Amino acid sequence: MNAAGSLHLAWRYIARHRARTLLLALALGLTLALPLAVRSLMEIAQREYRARARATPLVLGAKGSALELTLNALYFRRRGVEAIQMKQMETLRDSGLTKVIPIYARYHAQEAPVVGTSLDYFAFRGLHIAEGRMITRLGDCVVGARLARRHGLRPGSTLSTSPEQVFDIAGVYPVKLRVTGVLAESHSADDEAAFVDVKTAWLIEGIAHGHDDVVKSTETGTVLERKDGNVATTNAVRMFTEVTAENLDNFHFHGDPGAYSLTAVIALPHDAKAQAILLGRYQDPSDGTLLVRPVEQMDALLASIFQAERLTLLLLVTLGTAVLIIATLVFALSFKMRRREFDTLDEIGVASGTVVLVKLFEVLLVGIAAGWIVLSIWWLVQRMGAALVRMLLQ
Amino acid sequence: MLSTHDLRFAYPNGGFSLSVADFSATEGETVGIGGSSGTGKSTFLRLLSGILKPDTGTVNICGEDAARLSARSLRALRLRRLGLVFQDFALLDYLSVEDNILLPARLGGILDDHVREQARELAGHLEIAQHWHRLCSEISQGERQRVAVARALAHSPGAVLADEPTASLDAKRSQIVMSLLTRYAKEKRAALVVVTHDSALSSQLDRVINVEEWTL
Repeated sequence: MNAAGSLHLAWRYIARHRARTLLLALALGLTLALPLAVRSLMEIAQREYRARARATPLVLGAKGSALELTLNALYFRRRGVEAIQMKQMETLRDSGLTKVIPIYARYHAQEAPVVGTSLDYFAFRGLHIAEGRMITRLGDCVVGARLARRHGLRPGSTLSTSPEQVFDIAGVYPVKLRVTGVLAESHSADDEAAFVDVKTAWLIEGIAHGHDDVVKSTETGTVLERKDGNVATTNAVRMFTEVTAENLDNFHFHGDPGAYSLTAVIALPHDAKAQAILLGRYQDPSDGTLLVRPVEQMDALLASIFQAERLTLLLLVTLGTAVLIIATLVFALSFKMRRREFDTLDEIGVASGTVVLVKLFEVLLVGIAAGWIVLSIWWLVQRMGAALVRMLLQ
Repeated sequence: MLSTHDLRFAYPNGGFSLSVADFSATEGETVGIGGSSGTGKSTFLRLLSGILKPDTGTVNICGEDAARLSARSLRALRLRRLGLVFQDFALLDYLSVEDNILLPARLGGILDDHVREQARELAGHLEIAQHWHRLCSEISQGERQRVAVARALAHSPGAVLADEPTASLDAKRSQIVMSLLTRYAKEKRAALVVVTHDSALSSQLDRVINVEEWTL
């Protein structure tokens, strides 16, 4: 047998039929790489989901879907979450068993969630400012690193909130937020959000607003009537859509603060015992709230996803087997069509082992090309999988 | 160098049989095999080279009784000691002219600078050197035939068996090829057996045997 000669011949054949070889290698490579990539992405997704859920001991929200509540508190998903009232957070805080962090994630700006919360949230998630400074007053926001990059936001930029519905004339008006800082990248959902003080979230909601001072105003034509401390005005009174140093004092809230809305409350019990007590207390609450352990919700979600993943893997393995059978057939047919060529080698006296080696080397070279494709995809998944998963989780 | 004794061969379907009492081609001897189409010239060359196995009789290749050799040894003997020119050239289209000419030497494990140099010289003589790096699928029939001749000679075989090596060539190039083959046989003391219909070319050979004289 002459291995070097066989390899030379096999290489020449492969080089002469590059496109065909590449197609075959691609088919084999993708078939082998897909199950590996899916498995790997699932592991990364599991890690990402569980890590954030584990770091969040308890979440309080409105009774309904525990999973939607968890997704709202952890990933700021707005769909399907009813609001609770501030007083329900205060009840939880007043239990003395836990620290509480409000979350009001109902509005958005340029497709990114606008999250109303407190400064405690940043310490809790380990977020820090990379550029600029933290929010200091009503109308301020800090933005996640990826959101800032995508929209070119910097301290001093403005970010307008979006109306919830295009035709909601009487509803939520856009508010121009002042970007005071950009958060350092945390490789989490926080990178894609804009954070405001919860009072600013209520401002976006319309519970608070600012306008010309009609009490002190001496301008004629805007005041219709002054009676018992109430002032009736015309539509000519200017409403502010942006909080500035000049108009800050003109902003005020209406209604009972205890009834203001939150979509979730992150609860950080002082210890395991406090957590157990709270879970016991909220087993059947009468105030329409729900206290959930995010890690349990994520485990349930992941269990469903894994079932789907197993089915996907089964399909991919079946597909892979089919592709391998087809590839075997392609090789067999190719060798059959090249019978005259192998007969020639036989007739000039080439050892049968050398001819077999030529065929084996051809299969091997295609296999190596397929392997290279598998490794490339694997490398890509390892390098970019986490970012891809985070993008999909948004 | 090459000889057969009391050779009998029939294809399994029974449509054709060949019987040759005795044949020999000694060192440096050039022998032509003539005869009409379908009279067994190519079959005889295949028997003489050990590609086909006779039903009875012996074939002696370069001093070795083919019947006594294992299949492996017979292949090795054919690869290193024989130069074969097939009627259909039997070139590998995905290989360059160079790779085709060097194929027996490469797969026989005897490829070295000397063989390479000799191959280039042959290509020069056969006027195909300008196509050295071109694929065989890209050259003309006549050029392909000359590549087949160069392939048969490049590894300096002890005997050359050529099946109509000038069939696709014009008179001038046929003359070049026949001169090259006969000169090679004389210089290297190699036996040359050529199947040809061309009586003008046959006249350059030491002797010509008409296959039709054999029992068919």
